[in-house]
Amino acid sequence: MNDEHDHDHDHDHEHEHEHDHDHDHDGGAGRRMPRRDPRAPRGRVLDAHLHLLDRQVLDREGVPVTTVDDLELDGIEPGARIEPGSPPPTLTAILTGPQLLTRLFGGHAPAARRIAIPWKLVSAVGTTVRLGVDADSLDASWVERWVSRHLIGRIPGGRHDPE
Amino acid sequence: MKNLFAVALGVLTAIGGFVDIGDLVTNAVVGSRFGLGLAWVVLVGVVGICIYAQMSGRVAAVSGRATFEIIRERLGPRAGLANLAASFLINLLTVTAEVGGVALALQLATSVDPGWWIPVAAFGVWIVIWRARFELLENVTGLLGLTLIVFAVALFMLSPDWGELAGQALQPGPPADEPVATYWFYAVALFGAAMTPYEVFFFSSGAIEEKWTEKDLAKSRLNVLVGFPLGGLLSIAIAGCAAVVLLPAAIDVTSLSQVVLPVAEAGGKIALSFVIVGILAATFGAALETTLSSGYTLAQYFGWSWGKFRKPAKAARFHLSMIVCLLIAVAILATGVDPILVTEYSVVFSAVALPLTYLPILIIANDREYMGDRVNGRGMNFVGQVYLVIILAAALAAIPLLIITGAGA
Amino acid sequence: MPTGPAASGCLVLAAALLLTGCTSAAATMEQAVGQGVAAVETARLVVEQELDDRTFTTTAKTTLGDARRELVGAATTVSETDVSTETDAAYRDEVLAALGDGLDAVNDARAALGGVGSLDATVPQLEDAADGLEDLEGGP
Repeated sequence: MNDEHDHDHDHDHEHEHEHDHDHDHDGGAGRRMPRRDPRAPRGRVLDAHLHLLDRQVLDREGVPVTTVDDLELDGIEPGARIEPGSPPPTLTAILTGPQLLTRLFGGHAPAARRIAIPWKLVSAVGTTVRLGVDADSLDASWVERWVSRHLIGRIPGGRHDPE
Repeated sequence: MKNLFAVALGVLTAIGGFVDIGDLVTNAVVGSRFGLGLAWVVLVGVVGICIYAQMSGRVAAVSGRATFEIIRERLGPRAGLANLAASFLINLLTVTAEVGGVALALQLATSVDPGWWIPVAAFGVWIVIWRARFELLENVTGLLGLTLIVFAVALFMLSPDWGELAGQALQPGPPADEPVATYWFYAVALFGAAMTPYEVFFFSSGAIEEKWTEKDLAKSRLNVLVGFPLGGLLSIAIAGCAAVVLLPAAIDVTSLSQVVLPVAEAGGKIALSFVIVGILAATFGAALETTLSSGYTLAQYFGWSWGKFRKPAKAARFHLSMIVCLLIAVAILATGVDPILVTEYSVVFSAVALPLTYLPILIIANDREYMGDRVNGRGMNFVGQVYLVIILAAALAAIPLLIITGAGA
Repeated sequence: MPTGPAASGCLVLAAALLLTGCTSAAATMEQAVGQGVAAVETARLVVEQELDDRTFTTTAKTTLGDARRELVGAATTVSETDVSTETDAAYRDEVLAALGDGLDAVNDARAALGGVGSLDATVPQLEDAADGLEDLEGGP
């Protein structure tokens, strides 16, 4: 399955120089990787299964946010046959949280309970998926924030660097 | 000079860090029943852990990715979760054994019932994980664990019949009075004790904690290739002491107090104090490593923020899961189960779980997407595959042998 | 697929029950004798170390406590063994008596460490108990 990416360019999030490579303006084509990275795939389109699903998602500072538990696609109906020549689907969001359970055991999670990271926040795709924003600004990290605020942050020393 | 010091420190830490409650107990049990007849297994295990640690350290340093992130990416969520569940549960068993080991070592020093020491030990482990820096905890426990060298000194002081010991070591095979299955059961247990999977979770996650680059690999290779074999020699010395003092007296080791008997016999109170400090440091260090490993595996599978280099509040679920693991370990020990028994089961199940993490590491070490041109060479792959066969054989034989022999009784 | 592991789990369990159930009474008791010998020999070794001032009293006390636990475990196993022949029954009584002697000796040694009675006197007591158990090692 090849996915092409909807580039909703949001250059406010681009702070690192090398990320300039990531945004091609030729529509339809996939993301190109920073040229100097020898581990980057050479192709111009990404295989969602091989290169996105179950990858680690990092925020702007490199803090792990979640794993790509599932993807939200626009332009195809689940179960429907894809006619040859129909326009390729576009990736709209990374899904996480309850989405892992549906991938493990099948079924559908109700749309209201989905935790989505909009694809437009993604700044780079390599062996990890990098976001252009801080983890704390995302719905996807509410559990981490809750545990931090109500449990770990309340234990003495929890907010200090290790000595 | 500074470099030499760093190298020496790394090697010494690897020696002290190699031995944990599983090695202490299993080697003493085996020594008291088979003499040095299973010393060859320690050698096989040491070479295996060197290969395994070296590969996972290289994968971590080159790709910057930890073991369980990669396992999930490569195996997918389902097989990855099954792998996580098995590895995590066995690691939890090892946490329990190590915390129990700390309590037993404290009992040797104080004769206070281990039931009182268990919560103290678990709290100590937690507070160090909560507050101390990674390098600090690794170096302090590793260096104090080095006092276990007293086992080797004790072996010389006992002035054993070296010819007889060599004869036991060079003529492997079950003795006449022990069933063949029991011999192989202990071979698997000893292999599991030398190649515990947590050492690798810890090693590869530690490489990321300490922000290793490819340059640090040479240093790590030296630490592993020198430190682990010396740790293996220490293991054989533990078995040797038991073979000299306990085997002739028909004492099958069932408790930690018997493990230290030969040392006191050889070196009196001074040697005994060294060995108690060493056991305390080795089990405490391993308790830290296994507890961290349980946090690492969970956080890496689910993509949580992890690492000791962060403030606990910045890796909240990672720290919460470690607290929960320690509480579970205390709860298991509070039932009054013998920590030595937990240890014996943990090493056997470690052997069972080993292929689950070994195979993905072997595959990734050959994956150019992660490794670029630092993939395994032909020689490394050959040895890696030979060990894959050994590891699979041990894993498949472990549970049938456990049942046939009634856990080695 | 899920039936595979479950089925093999059941098999494993069945095999375990069979194996533990099929061990003969004599073999179980012989094993308990071996356990008793190990415990009494351990106690003798540590008492001698204590008399030579080669070990800490705390360590010796712990070692004797572990030896006692082993002896109690062995005695429990033997007293719960069902015997089906006269020879086995006689053997069981002898083993229980020998394990009892070992337990008495270890208890005396622990008491002596606490200041009750003489530790020196427990050495021959432990040696006798070990001899008594070793005599029973060959089975009924």
